[in-house]
Amino acid sequence: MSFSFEADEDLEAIVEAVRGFAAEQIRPQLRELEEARGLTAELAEALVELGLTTLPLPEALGGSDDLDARAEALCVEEIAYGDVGVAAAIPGPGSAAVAILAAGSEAQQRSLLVPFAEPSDPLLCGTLAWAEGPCGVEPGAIEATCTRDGDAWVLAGSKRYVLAGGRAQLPLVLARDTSSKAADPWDRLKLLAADGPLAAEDPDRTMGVWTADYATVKLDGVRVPAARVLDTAQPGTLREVVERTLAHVKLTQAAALVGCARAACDYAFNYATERQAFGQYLYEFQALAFMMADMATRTDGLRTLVWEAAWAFDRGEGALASALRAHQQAAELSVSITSDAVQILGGHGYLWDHPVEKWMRDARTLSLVDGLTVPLDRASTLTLSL
Amino acid sequence: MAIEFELSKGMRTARDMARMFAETYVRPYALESDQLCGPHPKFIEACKQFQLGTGQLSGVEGMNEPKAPKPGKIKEGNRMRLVAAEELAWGDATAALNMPGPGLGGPPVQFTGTPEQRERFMGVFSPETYKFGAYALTEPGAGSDAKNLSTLCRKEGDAWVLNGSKIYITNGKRAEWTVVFATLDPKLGRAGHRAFVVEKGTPGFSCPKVEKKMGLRASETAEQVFEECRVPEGNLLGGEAHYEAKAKGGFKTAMKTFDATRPLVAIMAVGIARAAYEIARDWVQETYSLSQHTHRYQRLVDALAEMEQEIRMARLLSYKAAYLLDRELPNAKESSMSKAYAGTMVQRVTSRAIEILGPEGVRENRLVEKLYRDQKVYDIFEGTGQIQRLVISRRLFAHTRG
Repeated sequence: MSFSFEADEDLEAIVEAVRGFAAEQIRPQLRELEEARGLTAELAEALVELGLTTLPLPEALGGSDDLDARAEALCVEEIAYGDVGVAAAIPGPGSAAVAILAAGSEAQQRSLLVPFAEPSDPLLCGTLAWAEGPCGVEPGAIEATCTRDGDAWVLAGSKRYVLAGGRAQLPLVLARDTSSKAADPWDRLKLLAADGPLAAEDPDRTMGVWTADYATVKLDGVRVPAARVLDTAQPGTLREVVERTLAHVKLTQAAALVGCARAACDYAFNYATERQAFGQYLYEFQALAFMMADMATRTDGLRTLVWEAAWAFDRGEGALASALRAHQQAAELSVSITSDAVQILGGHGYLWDHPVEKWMRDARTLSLVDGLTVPLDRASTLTLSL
Repeated sequence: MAIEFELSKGMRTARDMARMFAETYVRPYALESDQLCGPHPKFIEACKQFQLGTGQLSGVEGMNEPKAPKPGKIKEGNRMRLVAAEELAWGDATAALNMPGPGLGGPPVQFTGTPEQRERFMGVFSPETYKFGAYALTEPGAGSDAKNLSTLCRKEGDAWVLNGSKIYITNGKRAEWTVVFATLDPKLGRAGHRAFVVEKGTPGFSCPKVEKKMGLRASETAEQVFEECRVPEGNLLGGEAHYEAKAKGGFKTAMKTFDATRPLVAIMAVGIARAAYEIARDWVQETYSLSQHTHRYQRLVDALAEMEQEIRMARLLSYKAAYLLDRELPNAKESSMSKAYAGTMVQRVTSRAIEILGPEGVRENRLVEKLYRDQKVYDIFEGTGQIQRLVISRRLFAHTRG
């Protein structure tokens, strides 16, 4: 079986269900959720029940072995079609699970991830406390430290742009081991799963994705039991784990942006069939029709790039490069597509009466808001062959 | 079935063979044949040796494939042609046009021609000969609006008499025969259209001009003139019966050709863009090997990354259109999307490649200079970018139209 742009029937049925859920449960309340700056417990409960909070987990840990990254990308896309703000704030372990699955012992995987299978609180979530500033995840840019003290590690410093920063119960912290003398700066870093929420210093006020709350968190004095530190002692391991996790972050964000772009297209296209000017429907004006043809073409093309990245993630080859490619195009295209959608609605599009202004803000925000910039590996770009 | 991007064995074989051919027999002669304004003798020799022709690319040779694939198997002929076409275009955009065979004239003869016509006209091509067919639709006054053609035909005894002129005809001068579209009466619209096979040397048929072009110089583009040109009635493609049936059945077959050829044209643009990208990438690698920390270097690398992304997106769009075709699903919108995107992508990518090479990029002895000249027509022929956008937007709003 090879080369196909279609999901199998089982997955198609799941995607169909998510699509229906997004239309009924998400789209109608997108403004309420935005103003509340978070998901309601009811919505979170529904996401948990649909299995959408445990997509990255295997069967043994409460997820499903049938659902791979391609399935996750498709589900996230559909949630984002309902509203990208919700897709950006899906509870559950999120990308932290990818790191824990990659480097955690069996016992760690169980103790850290099983609580998400049947969460006591539907909003239970994990997060990546990695970024500290605009330089993102470059080993040289990580100044937070961890120091061994008996059977625990003590953290120092602070992290910025942390999703659900003040409330995520499973913050996975990237910090420099003060005692490490490893030659490769990557190997001086450690991944520590803090036990419970970190102290939020400063909630971020962002242009879009208000449903996902980002914050600066303080690490000073936080003690992480040694049993919650991932084993990345083998040289090169930490970098691999970080890259795989970032691939997942970028991939799911790109999928969400595809959903956002699709939603904006459909909303604007529908408007163009209802609104008249100069005695014609908007879609009959060629200037607008061509704009919409380009919006549709780019959305379709972007979607194939994201699917390809999901496939690469599942295959485990070139996952980060594919995810970055999809993410960069997703960032660029979703911004222009949502802006075009506002343009089609004209003055109406600028107002809160329609969701397109929100999606335009969300699209511009989502790809940047977590600060997880990945330094383009320049050497690898140059050897990229097509 | 699952979403899957691994090329199948068949696609990989097609790609590898085409790549070998392109690397050995096409690319090395690309600049020279551009200057020659014709195919290089070494290329012609190789076409004969490997018995290559346009039939393989246009899918004409696949005509005898069973309509329904074996249960559980999906045809992949369209995708295989795509991967091969990308490699050829990577070697030289004119390679596909200079491969012997019926060219664009093949599909109408195969689809519409009677068995006798198929045998008579397709029979002139054999692996050892370097011969061409051609396809003449465009006129000075009818380009994108092809149904507006004004070349006239009238029946006189046992012949049809043609009057008018055709332009932009690929291989129009050297072709053994050309499928020529004419009208009984412009007022009849498409119902008045007839297609004829006009053979080389028919009295009243002439080629007064071979065009000089910005790019694709190695490909022959000719003007064809018909002055009281008498074509035997047996050369009316499909015979009279065909047009009587067609008057009822509409013109779906004519449009169906585009569903297959547009992704093919799009993937050729991808091949050109990839060639330009590789030249720029290698240039950056060699030129900046000792100064990788300069701002300029970093800017160029970012530009390369973006070029790569756009090329890949264009490729996936054409693959998707071909995939739908292989699945026998409607793909008119997707095939136009692939062509619309690739047509402007190749302009951006080749232009940036030139920019990266700086003053070296615009020199005539650089392949990238030729690529930039070649690519522009990919947003023009087989439906301009604007026609593609018309097709796409009409499909987007098909449900609201009466």
